[in-house]
Parts: sequence; structure tokens; C-alpha cells
Amino acid sequence: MDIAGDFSVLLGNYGIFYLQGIAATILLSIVGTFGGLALGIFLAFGKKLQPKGKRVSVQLWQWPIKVFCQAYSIILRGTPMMVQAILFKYGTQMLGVKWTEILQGVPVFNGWMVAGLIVITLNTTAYMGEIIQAGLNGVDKGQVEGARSLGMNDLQILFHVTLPQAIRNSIPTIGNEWIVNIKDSSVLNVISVAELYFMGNSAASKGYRYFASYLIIALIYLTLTLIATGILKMVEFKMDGKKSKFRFINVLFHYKTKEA
Amino acid sequence: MSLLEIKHVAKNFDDTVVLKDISLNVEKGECVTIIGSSGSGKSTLLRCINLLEQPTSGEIVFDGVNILNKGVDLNHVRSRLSMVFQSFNLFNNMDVLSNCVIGQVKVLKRNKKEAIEIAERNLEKVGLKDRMHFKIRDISGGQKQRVAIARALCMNPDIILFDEPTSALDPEMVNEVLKVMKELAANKTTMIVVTHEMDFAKDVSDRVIFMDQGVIVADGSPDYIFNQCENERLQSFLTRRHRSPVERIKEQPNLFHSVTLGD
Repeated sequence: MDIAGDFSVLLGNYGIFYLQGIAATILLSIVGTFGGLALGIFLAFGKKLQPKGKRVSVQLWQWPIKVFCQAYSIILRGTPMMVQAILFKYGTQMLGVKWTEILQGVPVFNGWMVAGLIVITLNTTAYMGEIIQAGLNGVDKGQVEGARSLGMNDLQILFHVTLPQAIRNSIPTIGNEWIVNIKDSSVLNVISVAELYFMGNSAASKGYRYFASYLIIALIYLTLTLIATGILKMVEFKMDGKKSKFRFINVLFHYKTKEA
Repeated sequence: MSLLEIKHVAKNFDDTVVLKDISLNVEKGECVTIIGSSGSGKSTLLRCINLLEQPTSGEIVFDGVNILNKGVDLNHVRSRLSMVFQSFNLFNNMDVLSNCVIGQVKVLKRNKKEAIEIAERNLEKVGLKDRMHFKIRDISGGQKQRVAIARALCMNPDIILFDEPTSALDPEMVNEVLKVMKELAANKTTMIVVTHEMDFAKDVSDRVIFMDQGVIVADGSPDYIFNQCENERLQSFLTRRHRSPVERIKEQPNLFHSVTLGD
């Protein structure tokens, strides 16, 4: 077996496959993470509603929302994304949605990409809801009392005091979701989303060069996750207002950037 | 009519009675300190005044309105009764200046420029104008409490409530906070101060209230409370505080047993 030869054929003739795959995977992970974060914030609000003992008119709209959000979180976190993707694909097909006709011709968006973006976003939303909820619970009660003593109302407290702190404290976990998404977007190949795994597989099958092609993919995934880790550490570093210089190399060896 | 009239206020937490039938008037410009041992209900009383705790019964009449009535704009009342907490409760996600600005902009609807000017003036008053762009975690405990006082002042409150403002501070930082509070009292700011600082109660306040087990036991001028009042519970509270730690340990026979055996 001539692995070196396989490499040169794959990269030489099918390099564009990998580039296309990288672009798709990055797009999926970023849209999934940020879209999931935005929706997850609302999911967390829904789950944190406390309709018990309130006026009937308030209970009437709060209960359904709370039950929906909790069910959503349990179901989406309790089933594999691969299965969700397939259910989404055939379910929407039965409803007559033609995903392969949406945004065709736009680079990277060809084929099932739009469906893939929706699936990964909806899936990430469930996890982000959980993360934001934990973040909100972790904000010191005194912060709320301080705001209340100034006369701020619940919404003002949420948007100016508790939510910013919840998000700030959750950045490591949110970033982790991004890294998970870079890797887990590979399962979307089951609905033919042309991401890195799918494209690598396509390149391999052109001449039975599976080992070499998957080795290339593995290295690309590793590179992507390392870069993502570095970016996240840099964000944390900037937010903490450190005076010393940020060195990317430190990310690989000193995973802690927070001072003790 | 007094600025604040507390009438027969009681507060229970489930089965625990914390406040029993508290009545108290506070006049404009008065500096009232509330003293008493831990668990006497003094903090709860303060928290009831700006409704961080809902009293179980009674009336709190502030500026002629019973604020426990339904339909009273709670947030408006709270903005007129600023509170300074033992644990500061400054917003960790903002710098010093923003802490002082946010309430003015969001609650009092002042425009941002005006709010910043007022914040700067009040930060200057507490001696922290040079720290206004610092993050909260980068300033000391005493500075945090002074920022909290400035934040309260920015709301132009009718009354400032202090809930043990120096109890969480290192001894060397207590004075810088007390100094600011003394200045406020000298300027006839209406203040209600729950404190363990007896010197502050003695020297600065116009009136001292002693609470024990959820009731007001004694109420009067500092001179009356510290020199004349012969109430047994007050006397025991005051003498207990004046004894040294060693003496207090000696009171507990079991704790000291092993040492006294050697005598």
C-alpha cells in the first residue's frame, strides 16, 4: 500500500473536495453554535418561567411555554443528532419541503446544506439552553438584590445584570459546544450534507484510498479544533483584561489562562 | 407627618417569627442607627422597608403612601429608598462608573450625559473619581462599599438604608467607609443604619434603636441608650460587646475546662 502516493493523488486531484468540506464544516459549526446560543437563551428563559401561583391569565401562557421548552430540551438532548437529522429529512420531505432546491448554486450551500444548518442549530439550542440556565442560576443573588434596590424591573435586571454575567461565565462551556459541533457536524453526512467527512469519503471512494483520506480528515479536524480552542482562549484572555501578551502556543500546553 | 412611618410590622419566615409588631417613625434628615445582636431582626426590618422582604402584616407609610398597598409602583418606591448592602452587591459585569449610571438611566430615565455627570460628582464625594474606569474586581473592599454608597446617592434617594455596611470589611478599611457615612449624616441625609459599630451609633447618629428578638426594646438619643437606659437586655448586650474575647471564652465553661483544671 502506497500511502504517500495516495496522499499526493488525493491532495493533488481532489484537494478542492477537502477545501469545500472544510468550508462547510466551519459554516455548520459557527452557525450551529451562534444560532443555538441565540435560541438557547430563549429556551433557558422558557425553562426558568415560574407560572405556579401566578394570575390565571399569566399561567395560561406560561405553562405551555415552560412545558414545551422542557420537553424540547429533554428530547433533543436524549436522542442522537444523526437520528434527528434523518427524522428531520424525511419528516420535512413528507411535508413537501424540497431542501435541495433552496439556495442551490451558492457555493457551500449546495445540496442538503440548509437542512444540515437547521438540524445542527436546533440540536445545539437544547444544550445551550441548559448552559445558559446553569449560568443564570450561578449569578450571585446579591446582584439581583442590588439591582432591585435601585428600582430596576425584572427585564432590566435580566438584560443588564444577570444575562451578561451568565454568558460571560459560560464562555468556556459555550466554546466547548463549538468544538463539539466541529466534530459532530460529521454525522450530518447521513443526510448528504457535503461537510468534511462526506467530502473526504467522496474523495476516498474515487480510487479506494480510504485510510489516506480519513487520515487527512482527522488531521484537518484536529487542526480546526486546535484553532477554535486558541480563539476561545484569546476571547477569555481579552475579556479578563490581562496585561501580559497572549501567546497562541501557550494554548497547546497551558490550558489554564485564568489566574489562580 | 414623618417621612417614613412603620406601623405594627410583623414578618414570619414560615414558622419562624422574625419581627413582632414593629412601629417606628423616621423624620427627614434624621440618622437612625439600629443595633442589636445577630438574629434580632434588624436586617430583616431594613429589607422590609424597601420590600426586598414582604412584611407579613402591618403598614409601611413612606411619604404619605402605604407602600404595601396593591398598585403601588414598587420599583419607583425602591429607587427612592436606596440600599447599601453588607456584601456590596455591585454589578460585576460593569466598571465603577457604569454601576453608578445604570440605575439613573434605566430607572430615573435621565439622559446618559447627565447621568455620567451626576455619577462623577458622587464618586468625587466618596473620593473615588480616579477609579471610575476600574473593574469592580480590581478595587478593594472599602472602595467597593464607597462605590455602593455613590451608586445609592446617584438615585437622589429620600432615605439611604445601610445594612451592616462595614461588617464584611477588613478593619483598616472600616474607617474610610465610616468617614463617608459621617459626612452624609453631617449633610442631613436621611439614613437608617444597621450596624455593629457602636462608636458610629454613639457619635454620629441622632437616634439609636436597640432590637432584640424581633422587637424594639429601646429607642432614644445616643446618650439615653448608652448612658441612661437601664433596660436589662440592652445592658447585657452592651456589656457583652465590651468584654474581651478571652473573657467571652471564659463564660463557656466546657470550652475552658481543660485549661482551668491546671489551676
